[in-house]
Amino acid sequence: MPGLAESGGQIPGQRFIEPDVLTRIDNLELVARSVVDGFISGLHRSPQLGMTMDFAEHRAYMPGDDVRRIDWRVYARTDRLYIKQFEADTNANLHLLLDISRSMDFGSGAVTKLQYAKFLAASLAYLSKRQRDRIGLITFDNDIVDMIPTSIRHFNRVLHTLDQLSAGGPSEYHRPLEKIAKQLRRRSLVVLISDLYESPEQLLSAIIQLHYRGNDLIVFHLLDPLELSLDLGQVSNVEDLETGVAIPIAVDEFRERYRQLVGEHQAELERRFGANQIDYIFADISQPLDHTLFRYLSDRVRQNRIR
Amino acid sequence: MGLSWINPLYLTGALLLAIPLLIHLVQRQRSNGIRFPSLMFLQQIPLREKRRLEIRNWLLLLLRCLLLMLIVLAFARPFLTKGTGLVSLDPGRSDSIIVIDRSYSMGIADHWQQAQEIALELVAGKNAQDRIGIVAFDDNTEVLSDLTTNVANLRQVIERQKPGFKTTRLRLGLEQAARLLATSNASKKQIQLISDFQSSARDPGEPAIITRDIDLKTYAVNVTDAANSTILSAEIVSSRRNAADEYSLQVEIRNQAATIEDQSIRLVANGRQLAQRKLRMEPGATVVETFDNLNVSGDLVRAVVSLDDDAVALDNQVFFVYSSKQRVPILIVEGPQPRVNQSIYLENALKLSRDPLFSIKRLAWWELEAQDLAAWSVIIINDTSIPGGALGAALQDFVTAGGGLLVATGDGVQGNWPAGEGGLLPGTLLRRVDSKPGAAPSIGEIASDHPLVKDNGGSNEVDLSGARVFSYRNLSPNANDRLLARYSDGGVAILETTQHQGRVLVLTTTLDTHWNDLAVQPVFLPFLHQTLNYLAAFESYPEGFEIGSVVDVMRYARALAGGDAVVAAAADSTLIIETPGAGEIRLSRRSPLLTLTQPGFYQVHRATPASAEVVLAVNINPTEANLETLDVERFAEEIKASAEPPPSATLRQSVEYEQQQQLWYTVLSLVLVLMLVEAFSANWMVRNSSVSNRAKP
Repeated sequence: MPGLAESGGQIPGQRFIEPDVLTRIDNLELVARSVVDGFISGLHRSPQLGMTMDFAEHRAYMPGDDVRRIDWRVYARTDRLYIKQFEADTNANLHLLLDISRSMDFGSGAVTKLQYAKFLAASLAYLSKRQRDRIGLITFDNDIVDMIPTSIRHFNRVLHTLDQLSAGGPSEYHRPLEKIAKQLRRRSLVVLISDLYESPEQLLSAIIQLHYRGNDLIVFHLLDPLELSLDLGQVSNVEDLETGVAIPIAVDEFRERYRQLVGEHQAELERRFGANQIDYIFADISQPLDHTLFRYLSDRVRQNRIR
Repeated sequence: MGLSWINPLYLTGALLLAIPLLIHLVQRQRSNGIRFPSLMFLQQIPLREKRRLEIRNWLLLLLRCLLLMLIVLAFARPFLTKGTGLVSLDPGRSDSIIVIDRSYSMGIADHWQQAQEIALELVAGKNAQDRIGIVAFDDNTEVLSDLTTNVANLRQVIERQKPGFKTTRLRLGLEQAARLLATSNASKKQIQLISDFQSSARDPGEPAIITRDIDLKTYAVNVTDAANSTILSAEIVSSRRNAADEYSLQVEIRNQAATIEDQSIRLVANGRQLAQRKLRMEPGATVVETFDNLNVSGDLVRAVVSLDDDAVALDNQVFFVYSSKQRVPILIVEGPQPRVNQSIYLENALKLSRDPLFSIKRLAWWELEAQDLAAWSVIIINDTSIPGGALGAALQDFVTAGGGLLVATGDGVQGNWPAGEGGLLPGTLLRRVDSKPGAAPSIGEIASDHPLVKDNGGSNEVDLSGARVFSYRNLSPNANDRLLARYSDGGVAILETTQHQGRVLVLTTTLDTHWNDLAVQPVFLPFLHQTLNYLAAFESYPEGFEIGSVVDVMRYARALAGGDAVVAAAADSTLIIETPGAGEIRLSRRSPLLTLTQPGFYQVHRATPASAEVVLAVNINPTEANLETLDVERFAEEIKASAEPPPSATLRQSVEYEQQQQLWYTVLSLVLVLMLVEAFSANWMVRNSSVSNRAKP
C-alpha cells in the first residue's frame, strides 16, 4: 500500500478502532484480529529468502508472493497455485520487546500506555502469525522479566503472556537490552515498544547493541496526550511514578518549556535512530491502534521498496 | 459619622485571616498532586519560588477572608457614632439631682417650707452651666424635672410641690436620682437629699445603690419637737351573743410625744358620735381602748375614731367601715313536692357559718321571677329539675355573669340532662345507682389541689371518706368538665364546669340523709362552707385600706348587700367614685382599678340615682407618724461605703448606641449569605479543576 505514510494516515475506506473500544474486548487475539484483519496481507518479505531449503508446507498463493516460489508440480496436478514454504523462507523472527516499567502504567484516557503496548504487540504478533513468522516476546523493566523464544507456534503463548502482564519496576534500557542482544542468535525483526524515558544518547547506545547483530529494529515510542501537552490543570506538584520523588511545579509556567523539551526529545530520537537505520514510530495512545499499525506498515513497505 | 466597637479586642481575631491565606498557599500544594510517568523533562525546568507561593482562586480567597472579617466584626459589635463620636466628659460642669422628701411627715409644722427653701437655695446657688434635676419621693418616686440649667423652671417645680400622705422610703429617691445621673457626662455629680430623715424611712439592711462617682449631700429639715399621739390601729371584732351579731372596736393608741398626758378619743359612726373618752397616757406609752356594742342599723357603717388635734393631725384619726349585712346571699330552690326536711341540714349548716355570714332564702321555681336571680351570689338547686324557658335563660345569664350554682341530684331531678339546659350543667345525667346492702360506697378519690378542699392554705382539707352513699345518680362527664370527686365504686361524685366567670358544681347525691349520711357527718359543715365560699368567690369586705393601694372596686362590691345593686347597675355604665377631697373619679366596670391617694372615705356608686354604694376607708400608714430621726451622717457614710464602681459613661453610651443599631445582626446575616456563595463557588471550582481525578496512575 504505497502512499499510506504520505497521506498522514488518511486511509480510504479504512476504519480506525479507538483504543477505548479495544479495552472492552477481553480476548487479545480478538483485539489483534479486529485491528489487523481485512487490510493487511503479505506486506513484508522474509529478510532471509531461501537461506535454507527445509520444506515446511504448501500454502495457497496470495497476491504479492514471489511467483518463483510457486510449486508448479502441484499446479500441474491440481491446477491451483501453491507456494512451497520453507522454514527460513517464510518465517522471519519477530522479537517483541515490551517495556513494562512502571512509567508505562499511565494513561489519562481509556487506556494506559501498557495496555496500548499490549494491543500493539498482539496486533503485530497476529500480523506476523498470518505471515507465518516466528514470534517471540521479551518483557523488561530494569531487567528481563519474561522471555518467550521465537517460534511459529508461540503465538498463543505470547498472547497469554501479554494478557497477564502488569507494570513492573523502574525502567532501564542498557542492561536488559544488552542481555537480549546476546540472546538473539538469528537475524530478527526486533520491535521495541516503550515510552523511552531516557536520554537519546543512552537509548541509542542501548538499542544499537541489537542493531549490530544484524537485526532489523523498529522502535515504537508511546506517549499519553498528557505527557505531550502537560495540561494538568491546577496541579501544584507531581510525583514520579517509578521513583516516588515529588517535585513542585507551576503548570502554566512549565507547559511551554516542557512541550519544547518533549518535542526536542522526539526529534533527537528520530534523528539518531534514522541515522542508524532504526525505524522510529511515535504513537499517541489516544490515537487508534490501527492508525499506528498503518504508519508502521507503510514505513516497512517503503523501506522494502528501497531495499 | 464614625464606626466604633463595643468589644474592640475581638478585632484581633482578624489574625484569623491568615488561615485562608495558608490554606490557599499550602493546602493546594499538598492536595493537588498528580503521579506522572517521568520527571525527566520536568526536572530540567527551573521552578521560581514566587510561582510556588502564588495564590490561585483569588476570588475564593477574598470571599473567605471577607467571611472571616465579617464574623470578627460582628463579634466586635460595631456601631455608628454621630458627629464627633461619643460624648466625652465635660470637665467644667456639675450635674446634681435635688431629691426632696414629700411624705406626709414633711407636711408637719414647717417641714415642707424648710425643704422648699433649701431646694430653692440650691437652685439659686448653681453656676450657669451646671444642671439640676428634681426627684420627689415618698413610697414612690417622681421625676419632677430632668437635668436642666433653667433656673426659672426649677423654681416653679419646687414651689408647686406639696407633701402627700404616703410614707418615706429614702432608698427609692436616691436610686432614682442615681439613675438620672448615670447618663450624665459631667465631671462632678451630686445628689442633694432633703428630708426629715425619719428612722422609719430607711430600708433596714438595704442601703441605696449609687455609684462612687456620685457625691451624696444631705439636708435635714429641723424636725419640730411637737406633741403628738398616733392611732396605730383600729380593728372591728365581731361576735354573736344571744343569736344576734355584735361588734366591738379595739383601738391602739401610742403617745409619741413626751409632753402630752391627757387626750380625748371619740368614735363617730355615720356622722353620729357614739362615744367619747378621756385618755391618760404616759409619754411613749401605748394603750388599747375598746368600744363595745357597735350594733348600728344600716347596711354599711362609716366610722371614724379620732384623737384631739395635735401637731400632727393626720395620724389622729382612723377611718373604717363595717357592715352588719356583709353576707353572702344564698338561694335554695326546691321542687314542688319536697321531702320532709329536704333542706333542713343544708340551711342549718349555712346558718352556722361565721365568715362569711350567709343570708339564706328557700323558694320553689314557680315562686321566682327571672329578674330576681341576679340578687343572689349562689343558687342551690336541691334535688329538683332545672327550669326551662325564661327562668332557665336567666339562670344561664346568672352563671355567666359570675354567679355560683350548686346542683344536688336525687329522684327529684326528672329525666336526664342535657335536655334543654343549653350546656349549663356538666356531664350527662343518667339513671339512679343503688348500692348493694352493706356495701355503700364512700366519697373516695377527691381532687386534692382544688380550692374546695384546700381553702385554708391547704391545711384544712376536707375528708369526705367517712360518709356512706346509698344511692346516687350516674353522671357521665364531658370532655371539658373537671372531675372533683369519685365514689369508691368509681361513680362520679362531684363534677365541675365553668361558664365564663361563673362556677357550677353538681353533687350526684342528695344534701339530706335520704340517699347518704353525709349530712350527719362532721365534715358536712366545712365541706358546705368551703363549697359555697368557692362558688360565691367570696372576698371579705376590708375595713380599711392604706394610702397608695390600688383596689379593684368590683371585687369588693359583691361582698356587700348594697354592692350587688352597684354591680348589677354598673354592668354597662360608668362607676362614679367620690374622693375624700370632694373630687370625682369615673371608672368603667371593665377596668375598675382605683388608686387610693387620700385618707378618708371613697364612695363608689352608679351614676343615677346615687343610692347603693360601696365605701372604701383609706388611712395613712401610722409608721409615718413617728418623727424619730436617724443618724444622717452615718446614713450617708453607709451609702457611700456601699457605692458601686461607676460604669464608664462612654461604654454605657456605646452599648446603648449598639443596641439601638444592632449592626452585628446585619453583619451576621451577610455572613450567612456569603457562606452560601462560598460553598457554591468552592464546589464549582473543585469540579472544574479535578484533572488529577481523571489521570490514572
